[in-house]
Amino acid sequence: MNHRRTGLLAISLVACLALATGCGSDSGNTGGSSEREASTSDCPPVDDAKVDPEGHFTWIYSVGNTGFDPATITTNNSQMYLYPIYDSLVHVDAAGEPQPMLASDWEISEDGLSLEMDLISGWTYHDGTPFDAESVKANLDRHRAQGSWNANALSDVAEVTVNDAATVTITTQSGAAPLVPILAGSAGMMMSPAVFDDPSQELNPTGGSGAFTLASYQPGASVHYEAVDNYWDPDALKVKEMTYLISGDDNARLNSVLTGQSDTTFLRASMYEAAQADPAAVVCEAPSLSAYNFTLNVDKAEFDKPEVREAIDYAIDRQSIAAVTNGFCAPGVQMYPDFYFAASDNLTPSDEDYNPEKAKELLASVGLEEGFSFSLVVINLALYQQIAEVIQANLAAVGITMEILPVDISKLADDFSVNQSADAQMSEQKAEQDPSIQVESYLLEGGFMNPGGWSNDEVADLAEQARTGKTNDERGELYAELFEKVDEVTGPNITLCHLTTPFVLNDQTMGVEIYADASRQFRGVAKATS
Amino acid sequence: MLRLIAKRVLTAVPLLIVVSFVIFWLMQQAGNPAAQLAGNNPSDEDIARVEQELGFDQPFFIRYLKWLGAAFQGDFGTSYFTGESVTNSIVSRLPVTLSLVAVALALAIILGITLGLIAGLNPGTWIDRAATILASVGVALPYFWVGMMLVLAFSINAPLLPATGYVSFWDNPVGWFSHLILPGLALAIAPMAVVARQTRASVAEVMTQDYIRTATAKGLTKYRVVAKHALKNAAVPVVTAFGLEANRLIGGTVVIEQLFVLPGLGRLAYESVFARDFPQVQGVLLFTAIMVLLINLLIDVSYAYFNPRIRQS
Repeated sequence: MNHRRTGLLAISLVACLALATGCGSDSGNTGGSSEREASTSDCPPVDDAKVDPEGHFTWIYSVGNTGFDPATITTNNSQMYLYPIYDSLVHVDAAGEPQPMLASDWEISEDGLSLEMDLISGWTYHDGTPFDAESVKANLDRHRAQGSWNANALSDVAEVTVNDAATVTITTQSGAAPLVPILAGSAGMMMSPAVFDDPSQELNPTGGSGAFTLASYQPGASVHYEAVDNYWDPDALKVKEMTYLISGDDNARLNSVLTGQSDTTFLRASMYEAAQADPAAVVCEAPSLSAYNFTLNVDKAEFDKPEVREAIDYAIDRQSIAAVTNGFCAPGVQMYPDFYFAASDNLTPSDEDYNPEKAKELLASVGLEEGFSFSLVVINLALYQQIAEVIQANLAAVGITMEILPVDISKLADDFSVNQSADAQMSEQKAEQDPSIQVESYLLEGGFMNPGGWSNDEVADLAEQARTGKTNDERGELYAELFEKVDEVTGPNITLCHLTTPFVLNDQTMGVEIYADASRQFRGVAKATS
Repeated sequence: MLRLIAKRVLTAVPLLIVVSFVIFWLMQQAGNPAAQLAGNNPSDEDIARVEQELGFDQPFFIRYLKWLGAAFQGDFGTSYFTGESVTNSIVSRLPVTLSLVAVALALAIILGITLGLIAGLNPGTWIDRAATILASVGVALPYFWVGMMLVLAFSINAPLLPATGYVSFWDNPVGWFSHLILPGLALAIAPMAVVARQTRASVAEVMTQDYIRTATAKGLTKYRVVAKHALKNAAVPVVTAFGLEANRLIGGTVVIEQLFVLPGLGRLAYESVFARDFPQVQGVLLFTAIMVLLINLLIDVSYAYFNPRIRQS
């Protein structure tokens, strides 16, 4: 009798807890088995009549920054934290198109080697130093010096010349066109030369050129910004304060937005349904230039054979990978999605891309009918490992044994590119400011993500020509040709799918734009009066 | 008592040195982060240059002794990634973690002793059984699950308390407390259950002792018997359990701070591990080890206070 009563009490307790937390309530979850269709939906635009001039916008992101000096940051993510403080010469808009910023206009020379930039006038750095051509030259020279984070991106720059107070000319060795988008990132951010040698700028920047100054900073936890007075581009500044919070926990970030502590965050697949189920939340999404990649080290004898790389390409079922990502990653067979200027229209995913029988034939043609084995490093997050497991099963079906080695994100490049302890890697390829950087890293000899030194003369020639092209149209044709060649010979980097990035925001937030290059910029964001 | 404290402090020093060596050695096994710090698409030369800057070209023991020597002077180094002094990072994060642990311990003590006392004074009744079940469930529930359920219940379904964030006590005491209730409760559930079980067992046993019967026979009220005699004698095992739970709580802050976006030491440790920010990880771990040793010292002193035989021995 006593035991029965005890048991009933235990059951009651669990039931109470379940009821209290609404475990039984309908969250709109249909079981999670159906695949979501990727879509594009704009976030709410700014309604000037509703803008609160005292607005405070809060963004919560997964990773912190590594300092506030654009020349000494050590991760791409850090740029997000610099955009409010430092304006760059060029601004790449949400669609990925370069737009004027501190450089009001620019022109590429007839020979394609130099870039003349006109600068805005009447603007000063936050410490009162005038913004002029001398300061631009000083910044660019500092960014391209050895030891700067931006040195590789600017390695083609030969000289920066001051023409007059409002004009500079940047001369390159092989082509100036790639510089335009590159100057939209940290390499083009302008900092007061008066504070160049002050190491405290890493934690306490005072020489910015952007719409905000830093009010307070707790590394790894939060960054608080305050708007500057009389900003040169008032249309781009619609809030009084901004806070960037940092949390690596997906649920915590979503909870923060759903309960009003933050205004916006990005969503991973596992957060999507919960965000959509909240009536007060707005979910918007747009395709990005990022992709999931499967990259091979051709130092491994089997991967040096084009037939083996092609067999692997045929063996991978991209539709299954898209299903695993719940529609957040659309199948792709080239480095960039089709809407980007550098993509080829001829390389679209088709049913023929998945052909295990063809893969077996190719393996047999090089004497590998019994298959072979290799190791893959993958980020130790659930989704990456699930994708790796799909690939593992796909490859097993054609006789290839793949060992999966999960590692934390910071160790992935170490194991694949530096120590080369793994034969392959699977990760997200983040979009860089210009395709030339990505191509150099993955497809040219000496590239960081090409540790085996794979090379192809035609690809190298096309990469060189694409660097020297003057316009995006001209360069786009060359890149399209390059990616078609890579597809023909099956380069060491196999694109799996292209990512869509959804955001969730509350209904008071306006003007958030989702950037195709995955940069998180909140230029012109606004809050509605409550 | 002073001899006891001196003896414990002296035995802690070699232990700390061993702990520091293990921490340093383990971190070195994770490789070095030079490739991460060497810029976009770094060349081999870029990586080698950064390795040299970080001192990875020096022998292991030289690096260890340099680090240990500086740590003993309060300098835990500089973060590879943020450039901030590790000592400053720890000092700035410490109030958050201490606040969280203090709220959790207060909740664990108040709720645990109350529950244990009620059960211990009513052995064998349905109240006792209900309290025992609560305590058993409490021990079994993981921090993160309790935390998530509390957020769902009290932040999302019923928006009563904030789900994330932290407000300094000095800026807003009410905000400080409201931001710490849910994480504190999530962290307190397990120690509360342990304290309740220990209190219940001790009180139930003490209440059967002859001196309690004598005190009751003298005509003392039940309240005075419990307050004056039973609780103090029941305290030794409770303090033991409490001390162990306090140590566990410090580990629990890693999960809870992550879940509730609290900028404390636990989160600093977690994020530093993922970034392979060795100076930061080493500093936080060594500092945590010192905190655990201090707590153990406090527990030992508490034993001696509650039990004179320990003091004499």
